[in-house]
Amino acid sequence: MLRLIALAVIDAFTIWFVAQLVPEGEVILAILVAAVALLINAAFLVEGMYPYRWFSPGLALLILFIVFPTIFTVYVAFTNYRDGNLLTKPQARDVLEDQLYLPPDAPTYSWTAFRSTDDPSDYALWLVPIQGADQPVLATEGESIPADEVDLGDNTLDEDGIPTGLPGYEQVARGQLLAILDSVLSQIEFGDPDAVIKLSPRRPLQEAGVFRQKYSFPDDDTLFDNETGVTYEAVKGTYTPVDGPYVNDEGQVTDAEGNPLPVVRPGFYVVTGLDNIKRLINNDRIRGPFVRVFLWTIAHAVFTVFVTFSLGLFLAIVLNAKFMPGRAVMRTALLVPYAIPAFISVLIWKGLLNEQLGIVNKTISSVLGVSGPGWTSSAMWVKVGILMVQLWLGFPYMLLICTGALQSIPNDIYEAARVDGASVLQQFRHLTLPLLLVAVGPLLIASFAFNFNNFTVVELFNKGGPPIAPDTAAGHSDILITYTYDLAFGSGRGADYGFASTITIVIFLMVATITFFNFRFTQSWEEISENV
Amino acid sequence: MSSATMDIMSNKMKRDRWLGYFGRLLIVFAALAFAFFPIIWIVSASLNETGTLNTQKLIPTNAGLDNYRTLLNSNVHPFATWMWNSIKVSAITAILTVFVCALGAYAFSRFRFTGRRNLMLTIFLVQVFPNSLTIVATFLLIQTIGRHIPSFGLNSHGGLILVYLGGALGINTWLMKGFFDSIPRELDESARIDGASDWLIFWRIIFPLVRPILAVVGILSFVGTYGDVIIALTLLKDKEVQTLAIGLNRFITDSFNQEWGVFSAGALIGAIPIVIVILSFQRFFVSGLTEGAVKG
Repeated sequence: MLRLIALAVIDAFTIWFVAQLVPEGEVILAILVAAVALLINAAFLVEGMYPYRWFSPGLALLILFIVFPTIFTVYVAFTNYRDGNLLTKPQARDVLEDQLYLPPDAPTYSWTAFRSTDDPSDYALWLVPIQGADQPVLATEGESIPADEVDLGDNTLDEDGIPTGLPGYEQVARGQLLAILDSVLSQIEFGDPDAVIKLSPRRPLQEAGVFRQKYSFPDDDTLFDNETGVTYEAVKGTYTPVDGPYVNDEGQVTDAEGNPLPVVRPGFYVVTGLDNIKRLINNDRIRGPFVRVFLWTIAHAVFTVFVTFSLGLFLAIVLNAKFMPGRAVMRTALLVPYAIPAFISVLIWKGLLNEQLGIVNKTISSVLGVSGPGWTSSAMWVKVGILMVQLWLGFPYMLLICTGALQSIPNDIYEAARVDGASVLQQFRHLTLPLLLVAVGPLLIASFAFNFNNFTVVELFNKGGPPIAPDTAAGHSDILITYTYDLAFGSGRGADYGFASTITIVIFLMVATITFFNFRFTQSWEEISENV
Repeated sequence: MSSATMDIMSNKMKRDRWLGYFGRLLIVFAALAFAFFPIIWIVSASLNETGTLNTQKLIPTNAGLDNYRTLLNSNVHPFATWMWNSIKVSAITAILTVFVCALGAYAFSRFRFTGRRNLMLTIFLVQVFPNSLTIVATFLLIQTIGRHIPSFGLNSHGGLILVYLGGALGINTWLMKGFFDSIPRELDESARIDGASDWLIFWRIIFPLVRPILAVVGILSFVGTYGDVIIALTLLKDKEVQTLAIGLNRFITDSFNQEWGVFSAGALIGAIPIVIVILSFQRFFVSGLTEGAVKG
């Protein structure tokens, strides 16, 4: 019984949510939400699907927050979803239909503002005709009342036709008007929604007028500007001028002065096929920085694994000698950098490596007498800095896994090697290293995959900077994931979700390749499959 | 071989051993210096009352707790709020992750059903693509949800936790399932004969017995969530709702030099709980990491 009530609540919520999403044009999400709800219903109502009840919370979350974003990323990568085209078609149409203008022949009034005594954010205008209107009107937010139907109470009209007071309202004092004119009064749409009255944008203090809808839609892809008489056509989701009263010799639609007209925003996003990929391949200004980011992404991960593993292994061997006293304590002490959350360590290092004031550069300049490297401004040193931070963050983990692996190598093979006269170096090269790599190889690949997308270190250290060129989102220390983040959310350049998603697909492919090789080389997939 | 050569050899071995011993000690101390230098430096900075990056010395000339006082009372940088947000979000995520995974692990361990094998492998594979990679789409999704249900939209902890929970199933379910398998089925059977339902068996019998693995998954999830930067940075914009991982960054971008001392105090307070947790549960983290699991 309880179960049925819970199901009913989930279903009611789903229907409400889907009903909200579909008119907005969020079709993919609506379908997935409905599918999840259907699965939950089936799990609880169909006897054969009983075990799936236990997965329903986890799977619902997995589908909505992992599977949907993955599908949506692929979809967005093939669209022009970016600043100017951020809405779905129905959403863009809603926004445009809400825009108003004041026609030259519109009825206009002079106005007096009143504020509600109950709700100080509620205003009303007393309107006295200037042109085109025949009688005074009281316009509240949402309603126009002819003046002779208004209950004035004990108040009377003065010689300008303005009431001395209104029941429930107080007149806004002249001194306060300027303060609220732009931010409040000019924003309010007074009167009937069909004949909205607003302050005139040209002479806001003197006039209010009856506004009309600026844009109408003769058909689905055509937009008509009622004010200028220009027709716009949706080209790849952007309303572009195609015809109007003024067209110049080159066929451009212009205003009365002959300036070409801009497109109308907001537009909506549409599937543009391979446009983003073509930009990535054909546009030199995008491809060049992208290739550099891509190479550094790989180099960063390779070097990080290499330096952390080298130091970790070296220390593991040093600490592995049985005659070292206090080995366990030292190992635990060396683990501390790994235990500090990375976001804190990176910020601390950012302070130590501050170019002018950090201790590292100050020591360099006082000891060597030269100014220290540009840890944040130089294309090369920023990379060295990141690798140094990575070394500090990562060597303890490598020390730990190498210690474990070293201890699992049986001692008698070293005895045998010594008997055969192998030197210490030979023993390391031909015995220790190969045996160790078999044991920790998968972990090294996992570490590579993790650092391939190590957003925390790269973003917090220097936000991927310094920039490669003034007009690109890519920086010298950017890796793919921070580059993606800049494209989508970086300030100043405008969001480009479509292109960012294209880069995300590149990341997908790389991660899938790494994972495939990891399974392939370690046979761990077979192990996993057997354990099921 | 004469006894004289034997003596020479063993002396040489002793000398090598001593050299090796001191050499090794030297190396270890160098490593310890590298590991602890930044930590000692910010401990010193946090106690230095002048508080700027520029004027700091290793031994603070006027030591005191001023930076800590400033940190906890600042309105510009609401550190206590960030810390609380981090703990709240991480704790809720950890508890729900444990619960959601335990349900799945129980079903995988105790039931045999069509699609079981494929479902397990799918859950394993999906975690290869965590939602930090699809951050753009995740942002757009949360934005859309927020238009209709603001408490799960952008700038809300609800939305953030949901995104974290999306990745809850995955390696955690596998870890738990292995542990669940080790609980003898005879326990279930006898309870079933006594008339207990699956739910009762799960909740009253299995759940208490698997507490160790629940703790492991909970701790892993807590530490991973606490250290997340990319998702929190994308979804939370106002400083009042931000987590520590995002808030602490504001010291750096706002006025690094002047606030170095206060930042150091914040870094220490923010790090200590996690350091204690990780050092006390070392082996879980290592085995957890060997499976490619969390730690940001």
